[in-house]
Amino acid sequence: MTVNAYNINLKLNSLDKTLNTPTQLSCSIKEPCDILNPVLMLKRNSSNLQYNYFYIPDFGRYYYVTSPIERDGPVDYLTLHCDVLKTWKSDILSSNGTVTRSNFYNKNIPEPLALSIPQETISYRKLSSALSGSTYILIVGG
Amino acid sequence: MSLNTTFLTYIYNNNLMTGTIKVNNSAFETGKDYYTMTMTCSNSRGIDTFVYHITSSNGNLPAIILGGSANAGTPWGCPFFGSWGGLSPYMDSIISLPNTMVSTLYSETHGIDNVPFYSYALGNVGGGNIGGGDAILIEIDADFPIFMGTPYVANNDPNYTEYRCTQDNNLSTYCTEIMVNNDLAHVSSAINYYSVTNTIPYNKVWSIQNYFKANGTIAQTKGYDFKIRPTAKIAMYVTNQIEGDATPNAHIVISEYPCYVKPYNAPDNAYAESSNIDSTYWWGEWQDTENGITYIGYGSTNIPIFESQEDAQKYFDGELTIDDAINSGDTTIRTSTIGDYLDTTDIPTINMSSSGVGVYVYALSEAQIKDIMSNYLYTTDPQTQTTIGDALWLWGNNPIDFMVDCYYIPFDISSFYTTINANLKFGTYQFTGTSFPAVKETNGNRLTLFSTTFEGVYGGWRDYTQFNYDLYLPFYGFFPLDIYRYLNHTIKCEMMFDLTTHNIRYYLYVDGKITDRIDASVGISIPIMATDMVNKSKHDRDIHYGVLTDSISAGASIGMGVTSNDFGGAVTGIIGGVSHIISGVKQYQELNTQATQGVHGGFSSSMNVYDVMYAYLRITERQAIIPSKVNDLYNYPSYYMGALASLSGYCEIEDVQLYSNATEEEQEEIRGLLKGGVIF
Repeated sequence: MTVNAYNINLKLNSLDKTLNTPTQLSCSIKEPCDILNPVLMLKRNSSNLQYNYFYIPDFGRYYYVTSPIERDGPVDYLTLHCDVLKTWKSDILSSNGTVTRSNFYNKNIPEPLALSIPQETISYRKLSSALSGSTYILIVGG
Repeated sequence: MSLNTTFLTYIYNNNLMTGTIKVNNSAFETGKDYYTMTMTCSNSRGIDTFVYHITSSNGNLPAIILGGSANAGTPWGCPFFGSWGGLSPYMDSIISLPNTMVSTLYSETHGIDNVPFYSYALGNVGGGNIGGGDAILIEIDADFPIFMGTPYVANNDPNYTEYRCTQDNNLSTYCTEIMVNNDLAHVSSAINYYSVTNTIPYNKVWSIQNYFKANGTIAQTKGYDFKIRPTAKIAMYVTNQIEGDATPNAHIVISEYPCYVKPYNAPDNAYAESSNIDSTYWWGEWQDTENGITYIGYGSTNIPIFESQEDAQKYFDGELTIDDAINSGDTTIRTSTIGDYLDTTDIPTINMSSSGVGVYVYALSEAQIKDIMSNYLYTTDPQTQTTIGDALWLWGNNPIDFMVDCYYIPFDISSFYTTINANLKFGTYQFTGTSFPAVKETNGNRLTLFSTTFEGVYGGWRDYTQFNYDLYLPFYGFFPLDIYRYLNHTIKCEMMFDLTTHNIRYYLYVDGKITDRIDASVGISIPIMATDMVNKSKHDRDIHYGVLTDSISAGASIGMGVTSNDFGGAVTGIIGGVSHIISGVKQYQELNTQATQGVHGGFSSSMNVYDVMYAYLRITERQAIIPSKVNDLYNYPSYYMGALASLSGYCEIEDVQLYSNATEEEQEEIRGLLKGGVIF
């Protein structure tokens, strides 16, 4: 089978990845095969070391390399894991959910990443003018 | 109905389609009171699902029946559609249009190409032809979600019934309501959707209205109208209903989508989207009678109200229904039998009596109090005692007995009480020609100690979680302020002083409404020492009168008629005389004794006059460390429910409603990644 191989700056938790021009490689899949965690078998080549991202047209999915390349004689083995974010990006964008951190800012929601430390500052604001004078009160009966 | 019009159909070739939509018009079948038209569409693009929208630009089109079955079935009024080709069922309905312009008649989905369906036009199709040849336009919407939702009635128009499905379609701008004439209605199922356009799509209004009853008049003072999507439930639960609290709160919880809100008296174009799903809106009925003031509020709302947030959530989850709400079936204004609303500025007054009955209160300076004690009450100055009657009164009464209280306070009371210069009056005796400031009424005025807008430091969450605010009031000390009640509101403090009890009362207002009442006391008692001249005077008078009488008696017994037999008696008489003399001497001696002395009042702690004499706010801030780049890297805390397409940057999402062909394992991984944070 033919796969598209990439070398990209990989941010695993990014919904999308910027892909450059792929290198098409001929390879086999080690069987038995898990479509989400396939192992590619490539002809041994030093250039295989540079690839960290793949698209397998037969599976219709994107993958990233999960572990260093393994070599066994003339074969290079690359263990992949499905990049579900890139693969199902359009489905994700058309979904709904409860967003707890986002670009939608509500200033009154406490920041859980803030850390309170045992240090206090005290300030004062005077609110009124002072009562002044004095009075003797004499109450007599009639 | 006579049908004398050629049935023409034009097809609008939607630019999403690359193929050609072909329509084969058949001739109207005469002899029947319906027409048939066959349309087939070819789709060379290979789209799996698409929607046919049929619109009419001619509002005179009375009815159209649409379907996909080759079996014409019976004339209008009867359903004849069914599952076609084993694919998802589509609508079978009879649509009768009012004689006004309608834009969309019907839509349905089909899963394959070359879908034939039949249109029946009934009645006079208008103007000799159907819209001049463009009466029916077929538009294709390729992006259509499969899930339809459940139908519900969306209007109460007597001419037609509008059905909608609960599934939002945020991918299309085409309106797809089904309208069925009530006379002809036979809708087996409404499998369609409605779209969100630029106008507010919500078709139901919930309202909350707050009323006050003042002086017998019911007036609405606050209220809001809410519009939410039909799939979203709205409810309130009651919180903070503390007895005596003048402002109970009720929270509105919206189950999912944001809603649109406007003040009750604003026009419809004032609706604005509100993303708050836990906003506090005042509603309720309460009374506060602790301070003698009664507030009565009325509430009116068609929003279901539950006793607790837990119950409101159960309602959203379907465990409780609207019937379980505490206001179920009651959307009218409830009346109260507590009493009439009293204005807070009306405080009962006590008028001083000028007849001498009651108490007299003098607000004096130090010099004036000394003047009274020394020159008027306890003096032998003949200038003060202008008449014998004055002297007799003074010497025959003890002024200290008329003294109710004498104390000192460390501030001028002119802000609280109005004084008038009046003669000094003790009991029934009034000193003429005197002038001392007397307080006429004991109710007093309220002094506005301060009025300010209470603003936070940071203008956000830190003002609530990192701060303590304590208000210092003279002679009370620190009063902790409930930050959620006072922050970002106008706070006013009024001070009252009670002359007779030396008590101070502070009222705290938030935006003009009393929220707290604080009591304090001030002043020290001034002990007055006085001599009991009353009994002394009376005793002296008695002594003088008694001695003269005894002397005559004694004198009569001395040296007279002493016999041997009367020796004893004479001696006795002499002794008696001597004794009288002795008693007289004794009484004379008593003339030289002092009158008893007494003290009115006693010493009280002088600390009660020493204090900070102004109000101030102590602000305690607990330091919080917030990394400078936290918002650049991790965006902001949010609480937003809705589509993820509008997100950008780092986002964390929970409870994802994911519609995807991904495997279950992949979907679980997607949910986990979104919950942990994904960069959009």
